[in-house]
Amino acid sequence: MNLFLQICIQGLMLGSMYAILTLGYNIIYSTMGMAHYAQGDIMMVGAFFALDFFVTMDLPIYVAIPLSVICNVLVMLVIERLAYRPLYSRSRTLLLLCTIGVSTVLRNAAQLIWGTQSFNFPTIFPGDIIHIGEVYLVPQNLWILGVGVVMMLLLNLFMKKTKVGRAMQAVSMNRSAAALMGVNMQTITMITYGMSAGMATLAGVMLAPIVKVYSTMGVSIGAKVMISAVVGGMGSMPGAILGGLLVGLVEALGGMYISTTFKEAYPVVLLLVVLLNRPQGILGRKKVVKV
Amino acid sequence: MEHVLSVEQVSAAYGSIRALKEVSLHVDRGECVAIIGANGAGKSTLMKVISGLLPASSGTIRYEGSDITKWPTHKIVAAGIAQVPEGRQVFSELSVLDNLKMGAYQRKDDIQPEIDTAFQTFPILEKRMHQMAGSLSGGEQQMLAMSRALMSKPKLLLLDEPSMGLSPLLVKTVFDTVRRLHESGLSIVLVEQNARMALSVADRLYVLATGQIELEGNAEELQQDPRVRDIYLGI
Ligand SMILES: Nc1ncnc2c1ncn2[C@@H]1O[C@H](COP(=O)(O)OP(=O)(O)OP(=O)(O)O)[C@@H](O)[C@H]1O
Ligand SMILES: [Mg+2]
Repeated sequence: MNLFLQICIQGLMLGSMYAILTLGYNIIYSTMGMAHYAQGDIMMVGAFFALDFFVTMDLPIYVAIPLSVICNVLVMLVIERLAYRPLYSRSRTLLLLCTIGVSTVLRNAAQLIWGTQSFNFPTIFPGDIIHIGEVYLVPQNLWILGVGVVMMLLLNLFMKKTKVGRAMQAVSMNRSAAALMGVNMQTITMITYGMSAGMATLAGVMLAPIVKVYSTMGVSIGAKVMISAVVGGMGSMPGAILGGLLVGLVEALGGMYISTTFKEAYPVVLLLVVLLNRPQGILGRKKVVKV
Repeated sequence: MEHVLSVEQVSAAYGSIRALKEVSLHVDRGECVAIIGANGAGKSTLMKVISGLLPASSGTIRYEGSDITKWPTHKIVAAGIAQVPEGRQVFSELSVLDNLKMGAYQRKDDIQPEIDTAFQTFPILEKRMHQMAGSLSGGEQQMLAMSRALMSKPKLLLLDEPSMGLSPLLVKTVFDTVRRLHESGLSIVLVEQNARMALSVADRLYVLATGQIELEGNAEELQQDPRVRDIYLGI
């Protein structure tokens, strides 16, 4: 029972980061109507920036994180400008192919710049293991879970209470009506990608001490993000959180009670089970899924 | 007299479908101009082109002296042109109040007076203030769409079939509102299937047929015109 609780917390910790990444993926999906395949690789680039600033340059973490976020947001905006923007008026398939291309380019660029090996990332939340009765808690896990929850709350506040957040919702509901309200689509597009990349960077930094930093780290995490998005319901914000947490839980529990060898397969099983029972995702609305 | 809006020889197409063919029309300050025409005549296309949602393939659109043909929609809205699009297009998962706030998206000043005005004009909107716009009835959504467009304090209002799908009583309410806006000095372009209603508020009228202006003139004169009477008034 205690072990079970510990594994659940481990799973929720991982899941909260998948949720943050999925929220970033979903805001692009709902505002731009596009599946951003390169989301995991953007996270990887963010983690490498953090590695440079925090480990190589030895900057304090509260400087290293904002710097990494800024650099990675700029990278994302350049990609948007050069690769995606020329394709918005073309077919969605072209855009999807383009994001797949961007994903490959990012991975190869990372290998050229940072090499192909894995780098250790020191924990940013040190502290002794806490005992509560028979349950052992790793402070890092609790911190990460806390950061995840705070980010979700902030994003929710932003979407509901700010003018720009409301505009992003309006764009996702009815693009041309939002334009008729005077929403500048270019600005909203840049804010959407910027926020998404910023959130991916933070998740990357949080996950780095656990999974290490390497050029292909975005592949398996990116796959889990897309699974979380589909499981929760494409484009749904509560769905992203639920999907992310479920994927984290399934991965951790499966790894503990079945075998770690198939760690990557458990989320896929979850995906199949959900798709067979509820094709639109747990919290998704019945709608044709545009990929 | 200087025109508020002038559309000069404007054409537009959806791929190979030519929906507008060298359409010219103008709206004077404070004027209410109606555009009538059969289904598929190109009325909504014209509205989209004026608002910059669809590019004109040729021709020029001038608004208060500036050439706005190539402007993006948000800049056209900022200049003072608001549109109530065909089929209401409210933001269904935002509350009524948030829909109104979206209408005032570009404003930096206090928007409460316009919210109050909207609630005075359509009291039902105040009752439904916190309800999702998608849960409103069609007529209520139409009132919301109109109020939302007015939140930007436009100088020119484009209305695309505001009476579509409404009960006769609501049609009257909507047209009373249009009449009041007209009397307050707002310039209006009114697209309508309901030619009788359109003629009752408009100063001038254009008849659009298969992407071209077929007839134009003073509302009172056209009411007597046999072509309008036969085809659009069905007398
Ligand atoms: N998105 C589109 N793609 C392709 N063709 C379109 C599109 N929208 C309109 N059309 C075509 O352009 C022509 C003009 O359409 P438009 O919507 O402007 O007509 P309308 O006068 O507003 O008709 P209605 O009274 O039915 O609203 C029609 O032949 C229509 O089929
Ligand atoms: Mg129409």
